[in-house]
Amino acid sequence: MPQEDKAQEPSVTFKVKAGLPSDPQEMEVHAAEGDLKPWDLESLPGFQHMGKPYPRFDGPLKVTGRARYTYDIKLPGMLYGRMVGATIPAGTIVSIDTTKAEALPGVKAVWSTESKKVRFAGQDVAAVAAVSPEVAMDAARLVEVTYEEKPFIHELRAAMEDGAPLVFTEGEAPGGEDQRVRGNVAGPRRGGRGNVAAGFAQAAATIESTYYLPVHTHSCLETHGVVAHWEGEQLTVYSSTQGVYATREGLAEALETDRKNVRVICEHMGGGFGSKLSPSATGSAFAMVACKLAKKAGAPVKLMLDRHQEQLCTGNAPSAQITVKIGAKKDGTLTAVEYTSYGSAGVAGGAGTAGPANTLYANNPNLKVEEYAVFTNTGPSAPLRAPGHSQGAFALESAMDELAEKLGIDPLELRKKNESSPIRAAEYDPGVKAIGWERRNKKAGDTPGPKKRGIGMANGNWYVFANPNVTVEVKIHRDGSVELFSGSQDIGTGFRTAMAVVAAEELGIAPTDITSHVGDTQYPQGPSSGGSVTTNSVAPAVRLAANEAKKKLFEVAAKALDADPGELKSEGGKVFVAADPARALSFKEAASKMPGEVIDCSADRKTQYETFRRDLAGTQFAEVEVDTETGEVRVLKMVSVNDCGFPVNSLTAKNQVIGAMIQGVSWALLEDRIVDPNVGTMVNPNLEAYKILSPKDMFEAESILVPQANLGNNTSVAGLGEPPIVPTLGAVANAIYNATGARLRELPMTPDRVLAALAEAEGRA
Amino acid sequence: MHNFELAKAYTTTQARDLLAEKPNSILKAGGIDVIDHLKQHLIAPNRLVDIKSVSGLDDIDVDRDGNLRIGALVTLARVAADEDIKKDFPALAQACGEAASPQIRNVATIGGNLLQRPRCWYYRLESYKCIKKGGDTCFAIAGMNRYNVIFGGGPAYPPHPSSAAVPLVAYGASLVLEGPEGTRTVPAGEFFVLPDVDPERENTLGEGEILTEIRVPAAAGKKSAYAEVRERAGFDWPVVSAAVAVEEDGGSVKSARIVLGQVATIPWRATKAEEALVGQPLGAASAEAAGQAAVDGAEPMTDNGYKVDLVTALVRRVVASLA
Repeated sequence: MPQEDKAQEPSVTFKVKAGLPSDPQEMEVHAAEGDLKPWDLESLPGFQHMGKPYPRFDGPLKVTGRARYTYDIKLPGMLYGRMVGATIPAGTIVSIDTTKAEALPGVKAVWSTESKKVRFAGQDVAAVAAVSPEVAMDAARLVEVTYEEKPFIHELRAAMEDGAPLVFTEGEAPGGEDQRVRGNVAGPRRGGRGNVAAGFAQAAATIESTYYLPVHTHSCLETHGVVAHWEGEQLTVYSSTQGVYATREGLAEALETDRKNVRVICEHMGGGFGSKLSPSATGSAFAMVACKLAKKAGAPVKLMLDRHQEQLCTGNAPSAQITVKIGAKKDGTLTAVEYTSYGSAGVAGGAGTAGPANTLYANNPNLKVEEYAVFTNTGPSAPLRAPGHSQGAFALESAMDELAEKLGIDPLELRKKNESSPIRAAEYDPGVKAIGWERRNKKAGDTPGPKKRGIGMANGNWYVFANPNVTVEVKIHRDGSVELFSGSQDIGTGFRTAMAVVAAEELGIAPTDITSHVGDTQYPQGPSSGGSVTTNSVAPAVRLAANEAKKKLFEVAAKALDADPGELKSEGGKVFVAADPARALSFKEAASKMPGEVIDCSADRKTQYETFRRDLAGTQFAEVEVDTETGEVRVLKMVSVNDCGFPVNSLTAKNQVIGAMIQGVSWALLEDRIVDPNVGTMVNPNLEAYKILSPKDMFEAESILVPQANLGNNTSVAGLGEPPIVPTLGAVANAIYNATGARLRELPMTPDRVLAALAEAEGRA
Repeated sequence: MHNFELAKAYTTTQARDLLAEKPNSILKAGGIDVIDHLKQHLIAPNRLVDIKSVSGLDDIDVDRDGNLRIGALVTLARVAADEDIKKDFPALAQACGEAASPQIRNVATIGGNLLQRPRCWYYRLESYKCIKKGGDTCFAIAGMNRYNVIFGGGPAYPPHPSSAAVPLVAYGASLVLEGPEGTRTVPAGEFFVLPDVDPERENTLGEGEILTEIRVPAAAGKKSAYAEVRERAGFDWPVVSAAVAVEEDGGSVKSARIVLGQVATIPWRATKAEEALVGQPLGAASAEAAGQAAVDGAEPMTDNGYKVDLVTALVRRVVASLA
């Protein structure tokens, strides 16, 4: 979803200093009428709060257990709901008998599906609500379901084979009617430019490799769930969600009630990563079911999925088999890239991975992209932190490393040679310095002893997305206290704190003087937290609303200071005459002069306008140690260099980057959804055998942020949640290669795969 | 969740009475594995006899001759932190110290660690009626078996999960079992049994018996070490572990015990590797020979051939570390 370059007419023109501080560029932007002159490179040195490190406001609540998550909600008379999922991967529901469940003492309501077709194990079949979680569990186990089983297919590569059981019959497959579907394979979606055959003909060296990544699950600490509470026609839903407004919309439509009757609240959430964008989940309608159970029972219902259910039906990142062919001249100049991807989103479409191939190395004139979606009888995918991009960058950036090896060029130099982004071009050097690139093995694996260290790197990309449908409310009370209101929820980025930093910059007070209220459809509308849009969508509206409130405050302060409102400035907790700072009131004193009780201002975000770059860059470096006798890989250090426009809060911004690297290393080394080929159910639906990185596996992680203007809004803020996971998988694989000379083309890079790759490398040598 | 009663015992006699009194009663110590079983609907006991408060079962004691006694209720964390054990039985301290997570080690008992059931995912999922649960199939054979065994399999193929058992067998430990017929002491190496004896069990603990104590003979003159290969550094089951304990005499190995974990249905004595060491000086050559011999008789399944290489590498490394 690329942004429109032009703001809607009428517009106001601003001249801004854009680009990098080291290389400012004059740029003219056309903002919507009423927008503020954007913060640009000239604003940067004068910032009082923007970009400084502020501990997140809700940190103490979280570490002391006082933060109230959906899981913690307890209402008087509340019942406990439990979903019943299909136990077979494919077939037809012949009957659902809830008689025994209903007869169990303490059971207050049951629900069963009207849908007959089963396409994955874990699909919604029935649900119960009872007086305790234990009774609900017992009742769920008493629901008797009869199935007519059908052949199934459990995995991407098997699903591509001739004669594999079909997940969908003709016309049923997701993705539209005009797509070509053969067997379980839909597509291709084509893209590219130039002529790859001609490009490869010019190449002095060509490499072609195939890479494989298994399905990766979101594994949010807090599972999906809601508490649904009806009071007459009014429905309040507490939900662990990335979109309170999207949940309201989805539930109002499913329940056939007006949106005004539905309130959705998400005060805190224990992780989403893209899996909590739907009103319920991509593979379950549990939230709607909980509302129906609550209505039927006449009591609030809390329905949280358990970990097993969470692993089956709440989404995942598609598996992918990706073939990359790259040709280059002797000096490393790329002449052609051919990229073919088969991804599996289970029973869903949308398994594309070509984002990095389409965006990185844009100077390469010849690109051919084909993306196929392969259906399997497993739960549908959901967006996962830069959907498809981690998979795509793992393949492309591993292939770039293989090309560098073949050409005898330093892999970093190969990337620099083909770099098309001036931002990323400036990101290499800080990363090189932080990791100590010169320490890497000149020849892969060329160190003594069984434990070998190596350093690798990879690039990633993301986009400048924003959602303009945002309103923010600012209140300055007569005692000087300040509140901010946004309906958007905090997915974990420290959104409350970021909003306060932006308002503080505009109002001239400290961020800690401001209280932020988020995650409630009673507050002004804000976007779902997906696509790295929350902060950069809301921040410009915060600034506008704070500016409106400031103007009103200046009107009352001006009288007291015997000045003109236009002469006033606010900074450091004071309101003063700019030309004569001694004529000042404290912010509190100024507020006390207001005639009423509160200055209450709301502002809509203005449309996004021209940006210095439409994409976000990013590069990453990894140092690993590989035990070549046991195949154990430990990541020692990672460095991520990213741009996000102007960081709002450097502490929480870096936190996002470090979190992304941890999630990426976990993906690279451990995570693997394993499905039994004969029975068709997941054998590791937990967090014991589905392994995520443990505290003991943590590495030194460094985030370097490169500021940049202009990002198409008055704060010059862009997203950061997703981009830093894109390069991680490739950076780790390339570091393992540098350490050992073994090329890992399949994830996760567990000891068995490392030993096999080492044996292959030895065979080559 | 199946309803059950919780009965608290304060003496072993009381525990045995409570166990015998009601059919389908089981013991609970730290509760780590029992609670897992309850939550996964793998067991439905009528009574849990909680022995956590039984007195006299939570001491670590080393006598004048260096013989070690560990009460069955001693937590893994205490075993790992005990100075005497760290000094004389380092392989045991290390195995207990690397098991699970700090939180679990603070609650899990060494007795429970020895008696815990396998972690094979087919066994742990109620929906798979596997041979360990009275079914007629081991789903690992034709299924996903990357973590399953290369030794001692058939008709079931789950690895024995206990980390502590590996060094205990290497040190020649015995288990004290108190039952209706009195108290017996069984060498740890004989306590664990192969699935072809009874696929639904991993040991010979008798009806109504309680594991009360672990006795380890003095190891003052022995050299010993333990190592694991794991996919992640923390909170993970090893994919292979090995404990080695040797006695030397005049510069060569007089006796050796080499025990492998996570590769067999019981803690696995690599007897050929032990034979390869005896009479040889500890060093690179004997370590290599022991590593090669350790995989004698290995029968890998479809996805776990890498464990064969890991056994060789790990035994070689642990033996070499003793030189």
